[in-house]
Amino acid sequence: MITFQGVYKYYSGVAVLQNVSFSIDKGELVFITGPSGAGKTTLLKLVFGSEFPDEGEVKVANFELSSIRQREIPLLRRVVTFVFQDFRLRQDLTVFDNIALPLRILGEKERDIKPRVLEVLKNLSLRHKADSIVKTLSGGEQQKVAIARAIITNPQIVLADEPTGNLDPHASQDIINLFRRINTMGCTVVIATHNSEFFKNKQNRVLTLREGRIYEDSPTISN
Amino acid sequence: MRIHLQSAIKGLWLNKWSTLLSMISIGICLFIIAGFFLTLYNVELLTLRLSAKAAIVIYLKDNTSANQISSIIEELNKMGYFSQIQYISKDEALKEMQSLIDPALIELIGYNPLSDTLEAFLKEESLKKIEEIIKNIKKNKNVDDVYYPAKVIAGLKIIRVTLWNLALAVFCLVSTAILFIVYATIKNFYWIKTEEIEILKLLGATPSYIRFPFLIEGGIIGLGGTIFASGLIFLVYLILHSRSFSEFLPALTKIEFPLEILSLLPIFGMGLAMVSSFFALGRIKYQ
Repeated sequence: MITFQGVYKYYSGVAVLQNVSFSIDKGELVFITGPSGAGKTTLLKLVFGSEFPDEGEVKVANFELSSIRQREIPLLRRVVTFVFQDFRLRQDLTVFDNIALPLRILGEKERDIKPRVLEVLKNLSLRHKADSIVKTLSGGEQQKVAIARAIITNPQIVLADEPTGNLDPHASQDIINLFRRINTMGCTVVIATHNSEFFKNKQNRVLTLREGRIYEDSPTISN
Repeated sequence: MRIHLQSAIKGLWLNKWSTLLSMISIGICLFIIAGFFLTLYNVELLTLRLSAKAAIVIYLKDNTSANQISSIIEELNKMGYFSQIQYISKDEALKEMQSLIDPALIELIGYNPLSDTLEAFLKEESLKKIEEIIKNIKKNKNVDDVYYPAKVIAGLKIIRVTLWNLALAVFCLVSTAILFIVYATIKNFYWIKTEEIEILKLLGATPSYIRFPFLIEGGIIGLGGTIFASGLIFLVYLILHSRSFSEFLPALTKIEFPLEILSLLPIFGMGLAMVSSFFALGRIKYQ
């Protein structure tokens, strides 16, 4: 599903990723961890097609990111979706309209959009917030909306960059549990986080980055 | 389509003052273009009508016999330059004159001072050879003089050519102005919506999906400008046809406002605005 082969990425001549190689299979839940500046966000950006490798190969689904054309990127982003720390929601729109946006981009009919959005909202216990303007919601609720928007099109891969960075511990755990639920539905989930609490007591694959290199790639089985 | 239209209308409404200002500016530009082309159209019309009506008037010498007149007509027909040749006897000419000026004045002269004349109407293609034609006619011994309103028509033609050149220059300049107005407006709208566009890119929107609302916005601004320009043209029409104005300058009521030219305005205005919007957005990049 995701393959990195000898990937290097430089910013202003400084290597942010160095000789990174790994692969993630379909349906995996992977945590990418490491200190700030280790290259977690850059790695996710390479998967999402908002950055491109300077050396090496990145393959995501059927896309070769090293040679992807600009016009293919929208197609990639229909297969791979992204959940951001700062949500990136349209603050002026309602919860419903934010979640419906990817479906409208795909050209789905309004009569098909409504039941799908309402079903996702119901699954996330946000049905009662459908008509609320996003900016009136709490951080945890906004992140749930962002996740709902990310999964509404049934993508193959969901990426999340510090999705709990702006949330309190309780809301953070809720969001991580939500990602686990999404993963059990067959979706590949990759979460970048520096909070080891989320995978400490669970059996999950954890990729640890340090100074742009893969420091450790191991399933964490503890306690 | 409905989504794009809603998005465009919302965008225009949020920036209503700059939208209105752009529409008015474009309206004035289109009004200037339309004004030039309306003037040009009317001058063309006038030149055409005058050229068709203008005839070479051939004054015949006194005592030219009927046979000689017939042979002159035959000779003129043979030349092939005329669409119609009409003989007006000196008596008919006098009658016509009496209808135009006081008959008492003519009686004062005591005799008919007019001469027999021939009115020869030129074919359009013969207009270029007018001097040569007049020279040949004058060679006939029964012809006293020849008159043709060449200077008036030549003057009109100079005005026409000048106006054409001027209209083309104005058209190019004002069209460029419209392009810049829309370009700046849409570019501004684009910057205002940067965050929204970034979100759309992240969600897999194609460049055409992102562009479409802006093209609609450009089109609506162009259409608004056209409506404003049409309003101004209609106002000018009403003024020219108002009672007080038509009594003061009756000739101006004859100015025509051809619908076929005016109906091109919305297509032109909207088309130009949409093209400009397209270029204002540039290449949509996902990096």
